[in-house]
Amino acid sequence: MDKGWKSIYRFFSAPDTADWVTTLRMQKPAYTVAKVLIRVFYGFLLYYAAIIHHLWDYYHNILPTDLLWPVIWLSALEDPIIGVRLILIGGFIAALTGALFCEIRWARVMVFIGLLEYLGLKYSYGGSIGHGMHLWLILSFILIFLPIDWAKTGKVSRLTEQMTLRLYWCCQALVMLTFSMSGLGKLGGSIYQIFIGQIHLFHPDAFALHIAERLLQNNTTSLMGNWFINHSLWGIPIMVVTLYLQLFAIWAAFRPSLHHLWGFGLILLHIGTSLILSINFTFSIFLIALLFLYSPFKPENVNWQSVLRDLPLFGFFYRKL
Amino acid sequence: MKRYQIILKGVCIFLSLYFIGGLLSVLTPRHEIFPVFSWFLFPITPNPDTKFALRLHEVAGKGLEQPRYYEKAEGIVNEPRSIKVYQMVQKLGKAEERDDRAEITRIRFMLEKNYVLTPCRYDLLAVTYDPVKRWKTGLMQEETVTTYQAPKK
Repeated sequence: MDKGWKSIYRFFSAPDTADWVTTLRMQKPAYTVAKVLIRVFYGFLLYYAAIIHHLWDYYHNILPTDLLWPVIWLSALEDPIIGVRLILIGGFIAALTGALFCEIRWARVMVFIGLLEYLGLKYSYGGSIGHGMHLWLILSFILIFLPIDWAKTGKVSRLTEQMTLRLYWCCQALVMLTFSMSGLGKLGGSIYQIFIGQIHLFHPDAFALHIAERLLQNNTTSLMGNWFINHSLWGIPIMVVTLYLQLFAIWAAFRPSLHHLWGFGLILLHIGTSLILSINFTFSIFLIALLFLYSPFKPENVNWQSVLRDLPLFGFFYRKL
Repeated sequence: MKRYQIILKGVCIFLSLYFIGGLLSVLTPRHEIFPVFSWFLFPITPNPDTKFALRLHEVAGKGLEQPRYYEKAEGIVNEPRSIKVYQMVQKLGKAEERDDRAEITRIRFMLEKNYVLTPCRYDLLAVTYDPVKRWKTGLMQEETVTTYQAPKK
């Protein structure tokens, strides 16, 4: 069993990872950074709970008609609005508790349940489920398993440091995995469309078609959408770079030298989708910054050679030179 | 060190399960086992195709002088630019194609409860278009699938 995991890890790992002395030397500062970033994570969830306050009126004037499983219990209430109030107030208390006492596991469990209930409610009004806060929710689940003394000030055991860092990396890997899955979907979809003779992702008109269809769906506009519809060829490099960034995101999770570059790329991708497609993933931008721009695993001296060496596909050729 | 090994294996198992669960969620009616999702966002490039739309005649008991598309009914309906409503209308259209009465009733209940307030009268349209041509020229073909009428609820 151990052999299997090690083989998977070796497959994804960079060709020449740092020696164990360097790794151990880097552990302490990485752990210190991770501790701060985890606290910021819970601080942000309190901020989120605070800014959705203006929606309280909205939730009082609309009835959840298509209940998701986390809020299915609302159907048992005579007046579902009472349950809605409970979710909103409970969610806020959970976020506040999490921000104040994130070192305690029960507070982190409360945050996860509070967010699960709120998002379950938010997407129980019919139509599609939005995904702007999914990653925050899943990460709040992962962070429940932080070791008991992870936030202790002063000296902690090396085991605590390692376990905290491993869970932090799990958060990074999960985020990158979702991008890779998205890339995989695009690649699979394109192959399917090529086979059935349709316009596909690599067609010169693909970008314009995506934008026009998206904006027509709900009669909306975007800052740069119209320009790209009229200059579709500019979309080809954007589509190719997007596919590369997404498809190999999980690869980058295993290579600390790429964390900064991939984080920057994915943030640009989200800003682009907002400016062109009018789809906002603003909370994901913050999360990516937290996990990758300030990654605790980023090596001290990253140079362009190490980045090139670790790049998926290109790195292989660079190493041969 | 045993605890560390457990965490290590737990991480690998969790990531693998999320990946497999995400892919399998495509097979479910919602394409998601909340919050496990495939993350297949924009996997298919839109080609000229038929979609569904709502054309409103009467909302909340007020007749409209000119029938209007839902997404252009600013000030008449709740959330005219809601992507949720767009998705619901697509499901409604597909349910009509299958003549799935239970699903039609369910979606109409959701629509009329929160978005197209009753009493109301509206058409479900099948709209065929090339997205870029429609964006640039407004060119499309529309065909009325059915008309719904609902009394005050």
